Amino acid sequence: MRTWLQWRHIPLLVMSVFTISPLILLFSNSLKPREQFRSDPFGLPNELVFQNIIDAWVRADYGRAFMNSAIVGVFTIVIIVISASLAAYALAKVKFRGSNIVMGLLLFIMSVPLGLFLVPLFFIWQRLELMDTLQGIILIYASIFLPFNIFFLRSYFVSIPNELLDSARVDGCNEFRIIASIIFPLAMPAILTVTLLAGLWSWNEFFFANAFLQSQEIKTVATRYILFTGRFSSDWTMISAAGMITVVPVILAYVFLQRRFIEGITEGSLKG
Amino acid sequence: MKSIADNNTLKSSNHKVMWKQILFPWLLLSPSIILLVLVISGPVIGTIALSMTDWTGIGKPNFIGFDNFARLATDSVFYASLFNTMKWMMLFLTIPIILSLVIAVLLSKVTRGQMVYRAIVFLPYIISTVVTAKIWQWIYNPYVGINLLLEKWGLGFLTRLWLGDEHITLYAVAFADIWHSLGFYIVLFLVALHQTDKTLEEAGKVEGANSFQTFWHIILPQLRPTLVLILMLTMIWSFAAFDYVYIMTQGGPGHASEMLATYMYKLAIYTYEPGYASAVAMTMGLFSFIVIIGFGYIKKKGWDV
Repeated sequence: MRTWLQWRHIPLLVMSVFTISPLILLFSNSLKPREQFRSDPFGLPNELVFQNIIDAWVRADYGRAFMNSAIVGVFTIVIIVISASLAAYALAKVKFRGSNIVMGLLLFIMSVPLGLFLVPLFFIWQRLELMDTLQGIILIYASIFLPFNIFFLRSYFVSIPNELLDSARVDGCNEFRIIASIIFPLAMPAILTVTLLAGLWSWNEFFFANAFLQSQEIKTVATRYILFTGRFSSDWTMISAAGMITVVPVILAYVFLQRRFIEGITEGSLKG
Repeated sequence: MKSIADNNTLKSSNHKVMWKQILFPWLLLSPSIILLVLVISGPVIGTIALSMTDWTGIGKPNFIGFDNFARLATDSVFYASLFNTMKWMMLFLTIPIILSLVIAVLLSKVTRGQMVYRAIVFLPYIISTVVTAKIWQWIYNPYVGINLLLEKWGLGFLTRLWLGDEHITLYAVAFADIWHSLGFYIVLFLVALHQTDKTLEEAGKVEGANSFQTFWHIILPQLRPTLVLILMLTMIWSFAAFDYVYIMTQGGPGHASEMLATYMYKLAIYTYEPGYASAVAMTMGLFSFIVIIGFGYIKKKGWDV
């Protein structure tokens, strides 16, 4: 039985190597001396040139881009956690007319292609003077990720027993107290997942950031990276170094919290 | 006096019902509704309206009826991008789904290292597409990319202008995007495989079924809901595919890898034809709509449960 099971590791290892090698190449090229890249782009670095990373950080003005992405991420998360958990509570624990319609509409909104609202949004944002501002992009991100997170939290809230809420009501808690002091603490794992996923998405997002953030000073990391690669279009050492800086925060978070990432993303899709 | 007091309690209980069942839930939903109407539903309606105008982004939009759609019917770039999008969808409905199902089945039978494999194959899915698309752009670079390696291995006949040859570009870009998405599919199948009924498999083995028969007749039918979900997501996502194409080729060379989403994006942002761009967006929206309605119908018929 044991030896019979072993063969499965061969295709799985091939698959893993296929998955991981482009990322290894990114890391290796980001630390490789420039001269070596020209003659040997696929080999491991002869020596580790950390100066590449520093150069890319400075030339791409990544300090500011990290700050922008952090601001966008934090506010997106705050808006999503608050509005999604309120909505999820209404949909999970309050019986009201129209709740099914709301669920249906949310499902529908979730599957609207991004392109279908890009154009008018562009002009609405110009009119509201939200174009080319961080506030503007935060509102867009919060809205786009909202339906997914409402579903995600709702399915978690449903599993919180009603008796718990009823006994709190008997003790004189009003509904807002219940949300703040019972639902929130109990749903902490789900809220942490929402935080993580919303942070990940807003860090990686490119479609809207590229269209809505035009000034260099307010570009997020992903859009700053694209601008930078356009400018250093054949300097693959710099492109790799900047790419490495872009992905390292995500990979670090993933190393420690991979279960939450994987299960959050897939469970959310299954529920939606 | 008494009747007034009664009336008052009646009123207050009415208020309570009104509060509990109408005002309170909608109050909770209001932040979400405001955001979604402002950013998504409102603009979607705007797109429908704009698609029937000749708006250039400045001045007043003129109503031109279905002229934009008539223009679509004669626009060769639109046809090219529609055709490419269809090809993309066919690729994604087959290769990643079959491959990930095979990997997931293998993975589900492996106990040692399952979590490690899962973490590795899922990794590309969470990394910025801007970066992964650039890595693949470098791999496909004719002078410093994979061609060098192929020549070194004596496989020089395989070298190509991966992103420059109009017959290959779309497949090269799709390959990169498949690399990025496989892990997501694998994990979805893995979740479904863990929920299958193991006693059925045992019963099958007792009856003398080989492993392929077990898979085909016992495991696969149980994966049907997941499979249907994946097919639906893949169709919707394929029709909106954007990131990899936009970053790696911008739809080129010529329009060889142009997709509906990249064409729409260019029309909207670079050539200032928001009216016409909206008409292109409408075809994408219409497709998603049909897919969702279709799958809703299938679900209602009970085919997937």
